[in-house]
Amino acid sequence: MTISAILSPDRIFIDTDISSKKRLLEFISNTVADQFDLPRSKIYSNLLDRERLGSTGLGNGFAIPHARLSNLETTIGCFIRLDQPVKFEAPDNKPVDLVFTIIIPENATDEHLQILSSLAKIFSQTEIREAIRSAESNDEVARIIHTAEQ
Amino acid sequence: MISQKLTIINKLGLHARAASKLVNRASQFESEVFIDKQGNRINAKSIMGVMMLAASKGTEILLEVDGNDEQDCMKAIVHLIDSGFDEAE
Repeated sequence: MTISAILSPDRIFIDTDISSKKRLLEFISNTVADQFDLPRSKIYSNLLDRERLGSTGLGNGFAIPHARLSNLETTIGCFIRLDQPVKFEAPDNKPVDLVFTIIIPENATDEHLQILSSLAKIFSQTEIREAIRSAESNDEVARIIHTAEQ
Repeated sequence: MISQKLTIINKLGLHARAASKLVNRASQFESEVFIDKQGNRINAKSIMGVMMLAASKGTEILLEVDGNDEQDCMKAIVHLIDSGFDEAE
């Protein structure tokens, strides 16, 4: 399963004006719940619970808030580029502006590891993070990610 | 430099939280720590590196530790992996 396959352009948001990690998780929950008719409060509480176990900030302004959800058939990705970075308790203490969320079916273990691996490969590259930071549309972000996966 | 073969035993494999525990443990030591999975060798003090491995349950890895505190470091990481990262099933 590729990153492009789980991320459609209508779940890519750039220059979103979100002021905190909690608001960010709310925005993600609302977006995914609306698009897939899923329980928004469940998504939100699972995302929040996961952050309480330890920040999903990975450093260099990148974070991967994620949650498992029962009765979900396929992994759902959502990417957000924040106008102003928010505090995220990341290991390097840098605030986060690039956020890739994955909502994962309860039992998708190997697929989940593959997706994490692909995200790490893409977002560990400085040039790609910078290209995404200066992209001018959500389609451009989708193209950058798609190209990076080839 | 010392090295040891290990098998990932926790159900979820090296997912984000387990990867983060591994990186934190490795970073407590001065030694350099590398993990090799089928020729793919990464720095075990890098969360992105560890996640890139996509090491699922049953995966065999080679842990390499090099430095003044390599014995203690190896012991600590082996313990973490062999205890399944203290995860409930």
